[in-house]
Amino acid sequence: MSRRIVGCLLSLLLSGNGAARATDLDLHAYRGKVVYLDFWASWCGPCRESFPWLAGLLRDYASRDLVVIGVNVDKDRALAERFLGDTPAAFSIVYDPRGEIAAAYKIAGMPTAILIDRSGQVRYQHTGFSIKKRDEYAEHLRTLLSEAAP
Amino acid sequence: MRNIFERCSAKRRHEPRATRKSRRLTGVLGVLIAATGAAGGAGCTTFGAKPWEHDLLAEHAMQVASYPLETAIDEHIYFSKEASSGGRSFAGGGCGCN
Repeated sequence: MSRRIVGCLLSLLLSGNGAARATDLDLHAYRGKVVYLDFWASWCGPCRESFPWLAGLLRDYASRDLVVIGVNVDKDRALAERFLGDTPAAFSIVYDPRGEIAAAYKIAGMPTAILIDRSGQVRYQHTGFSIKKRDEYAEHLRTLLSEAAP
Repeated sequence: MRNIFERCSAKRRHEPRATRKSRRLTGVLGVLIAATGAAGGAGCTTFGAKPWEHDLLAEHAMQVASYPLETAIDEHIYFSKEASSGGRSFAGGGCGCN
């Protein structure tokens, strides 16, 4: 499967005139860093499980240039905010109520994590979240973190 | 070996017109069915809710088994009194997560 570079996706998003707030997701700013893009929703149980784990990841790896961005796909923002009240996020959230960012990344399930390397290439995609697989997820992340910046 | 082939082709040449016609019809139908299948298969990807649109499907009222315990009890009665079981699932879901 051909992976588009993030720049391409971004221009695709920006060319749309939707309310996805695509400008909020300016990944150019994170070039040279490893970006963990987490698509989540308030109605998704495993998403709730993943948040504390993500907070742990950030604690461990923020010093090694890890950036976590949550993309919320709730249509109703109030539900997302209620979720964040119960399950605080340790990272910034982008709101995508019309699913435009989700569609651009062709996500296949909820939650989905997209791991982008330092050169802006999408390298791993994790569909669903299972605490049993956390070592595998972390291993992928460590692979990307250990690579040198372009 | 050669004889078999000769026999086959000879048979084909002399088959009644109606058979040949129906064979052609079957061929056309086959192509049509294959084309419809292919189109349908491709079309499926655009039907239904996308993974990020499962908010309503994930609601309690939308579950196949909104009350799993009640469903389990019902199923047990069917199983033990009417000797029928299966055909439905106790599993919840709808959000499509995992």
